[in-house]
Amino acid sequence: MSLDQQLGAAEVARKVQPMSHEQESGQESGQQQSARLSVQGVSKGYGSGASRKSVVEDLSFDVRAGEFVCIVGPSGAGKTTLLKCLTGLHPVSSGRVLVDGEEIAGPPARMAMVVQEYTRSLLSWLSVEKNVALPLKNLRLDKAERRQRVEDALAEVGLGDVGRSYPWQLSGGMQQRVAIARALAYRPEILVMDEPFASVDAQTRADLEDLMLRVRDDFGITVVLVTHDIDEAVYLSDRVVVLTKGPCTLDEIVTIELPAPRDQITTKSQARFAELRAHVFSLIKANA
Amino acid sequence: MSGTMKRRLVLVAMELWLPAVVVAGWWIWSSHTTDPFFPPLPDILERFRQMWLFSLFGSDVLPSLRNLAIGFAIASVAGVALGMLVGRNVWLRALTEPLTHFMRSTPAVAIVPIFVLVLGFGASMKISIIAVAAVFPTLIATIDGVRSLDPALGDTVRVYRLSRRQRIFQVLLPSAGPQIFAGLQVSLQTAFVVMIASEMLGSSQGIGALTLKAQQAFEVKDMWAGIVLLGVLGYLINLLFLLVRRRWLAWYDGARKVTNS
Amino acid sequence: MNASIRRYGLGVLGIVVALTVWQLLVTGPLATKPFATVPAIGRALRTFAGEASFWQSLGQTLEVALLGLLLSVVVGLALGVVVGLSDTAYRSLRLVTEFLKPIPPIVILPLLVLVLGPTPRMGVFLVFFGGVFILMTQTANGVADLDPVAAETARSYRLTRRQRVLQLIVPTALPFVATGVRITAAAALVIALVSEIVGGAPGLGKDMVLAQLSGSYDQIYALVVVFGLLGMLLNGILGFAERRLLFWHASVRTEVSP
Repeated sequence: MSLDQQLGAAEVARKVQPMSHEQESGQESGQQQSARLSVQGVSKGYGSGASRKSVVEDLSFDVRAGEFVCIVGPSGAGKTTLLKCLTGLHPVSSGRVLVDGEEIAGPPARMAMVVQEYTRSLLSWLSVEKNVALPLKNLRLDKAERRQRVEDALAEVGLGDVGRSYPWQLSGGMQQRVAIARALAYRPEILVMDEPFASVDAQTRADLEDLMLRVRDDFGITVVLVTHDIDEAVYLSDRVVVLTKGPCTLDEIVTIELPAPRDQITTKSQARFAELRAHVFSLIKANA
Repeated sequence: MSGTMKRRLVLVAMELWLPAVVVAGWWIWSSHTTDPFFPPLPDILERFRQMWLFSLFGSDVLPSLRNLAIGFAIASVAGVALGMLVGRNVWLRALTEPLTHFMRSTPAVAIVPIFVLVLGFGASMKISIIAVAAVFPTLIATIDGVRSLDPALGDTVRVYRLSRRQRIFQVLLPSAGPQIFAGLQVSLQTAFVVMIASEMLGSSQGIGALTLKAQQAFEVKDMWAGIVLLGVLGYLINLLFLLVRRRWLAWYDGARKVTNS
Repeated sequence: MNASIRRYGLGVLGIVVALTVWQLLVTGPLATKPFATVPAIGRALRTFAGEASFWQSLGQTLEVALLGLLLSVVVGLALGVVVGLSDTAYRSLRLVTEFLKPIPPIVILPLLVLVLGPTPRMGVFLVFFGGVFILMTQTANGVADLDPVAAETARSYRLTRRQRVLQLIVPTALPFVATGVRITAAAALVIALVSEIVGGAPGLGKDMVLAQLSGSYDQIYALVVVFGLLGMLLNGILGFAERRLLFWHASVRTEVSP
């Protein structure tokens, strides 16, 4: 078992600080390292009896607050299903998903998601501004604050001047930025991303990757990103969760000790980058 | 004359020559024939002006249009509301599906006699049957639209924990918009036909009633005037609908143009 | 398997509930109004099934619908091909079509009754009028939808005209035409009934008017049930035929809007 897996297991064993402050649990972890997101022995399958198809099997890992974690694995491993369990969209068959120490039952508060197909997750009948503002409506903010957040979010992703346009009038990369801005304005604690840059061209992808790093640094969001692009995973992450082939379980958690801030040119030309990349690649290849 | 101007004139001429020939031909032929069923076109137009502008306008045209408007309004609102209710609920859908299928397969004109029997000849009968006949296309189209909500959108809505009100009015309803409008267009056409049928079968008031009565009394010019008015109204009502649709679904037409290019 | 049984069961339950509610209303608060009870309607239906005159009327109605449909298909197809292939023809006919297409047949019914009398022929012509423009437009759109790349390829392979028609134009236009026929066939039955109920032509519709005049409520409601079942049957057959014919073109179910 790698050092990381041992640490992860230790975190699970430790009682994590509960979210509600009224509860005096008496068991204070007191660590800065309490897991924001904790996956404990999660399994997910469909059907029953003979026709049961298992997609995820006994998967466990933790994500610390402010961490950038990428999940990689061979095709068909069940990464998207796993994400649906993490976001509470689908219930798990067994095991638990904890956010800030509390088991989730449905989509938790303060979690946002960005998916690969941006056209299908943005509302074509609303302008970019209104799209970004939509989830803010039930956050009980006043109008001025809402508008400010929208402005800030659009500025952060570099779309300050297209607020009035409609999503379908923009390019693919810009549309994905709108989706990211929408997540940002929501001020989530955890941002889950499902192959968000798979449908954009390479140059745009590089820009968006750097955007995500900047966003994480500026806002302290915890990011969980699923990707099939190993370079991307190594470039962005603090740790990479490598899954086995479907039904998937944890293969290894690779710690990425590359210096920050990351840069498309200098980071990717470091020897350590190539080593880590090769290591992850070989893990996946061994699994496929 | 420049090349492009000449070409444009040719195109316009191509579109206009046949209609012009048809109208002129009708005019000339009907003015010279002794066939009693085809009076001279100028006489028809004169009778049209006499009847509808404006002597019988208030007593017959306005009530017809009013019944159509009210009946269609009820059908639209009920169709969309019920469609959203049924569309989101698997149980309701399964319960009501055979019934809805049966009722929409029944020709509306076939239940006019029943409505006349039960409700008599008045405006309430006409409005009721227009509403009942016109609700089904919209109802079915709305159910269709609700069911075809993109799953990616559904996921987004759930992760961001949108309220029920937001989900229904800001996401579901607009997303089903294109299908709903397609249903509404059919509902409108149905309403128009049933308006005419209800008047022809059970009334002495209304454009349809007057036209049929004129035919039965061999007042051929009056009948023609009624037919022309109904034709023009049918065309105008459809045009009006398309204009409304263009405004409400501008986003959809725009988005589709982008995907198709 | 489980889910479809449940759906089927719920559907049947829905029908049973509706019939029960009808029966309760008709024997209770609406007893004095001109309604018919469920058993009475059933009896009338059974009587119909045994009467030769019922089947004759049914045949008459179907005959009118079918003949009118055939006529509108033949003429609509021919015109549609011409319009689809020739820009001149398209432009020439555009205004006329645009004005005549939205006119429901019931509008010209009085004229047809005047000229042709309350006869089956009047009904056939009415059905024809109701369908020809739809089929023409659908065919034209189908023919015009021909992929220019495919057309170029055919030319470069020097296909004969006959081959081009059979292997390029027909398959491209077929889904559009099929949709047009489906819409028109469903409408044909309705228009035939209009010609009988409003126009007085012989057929089941006329029978219903007679039943109304003689106050035979049971028969009226029974006939409505017959019409509904006929409509459902027709839709079912048409849907089945279209699916079989176009199994290779599953994606195309678009009704080209004006």
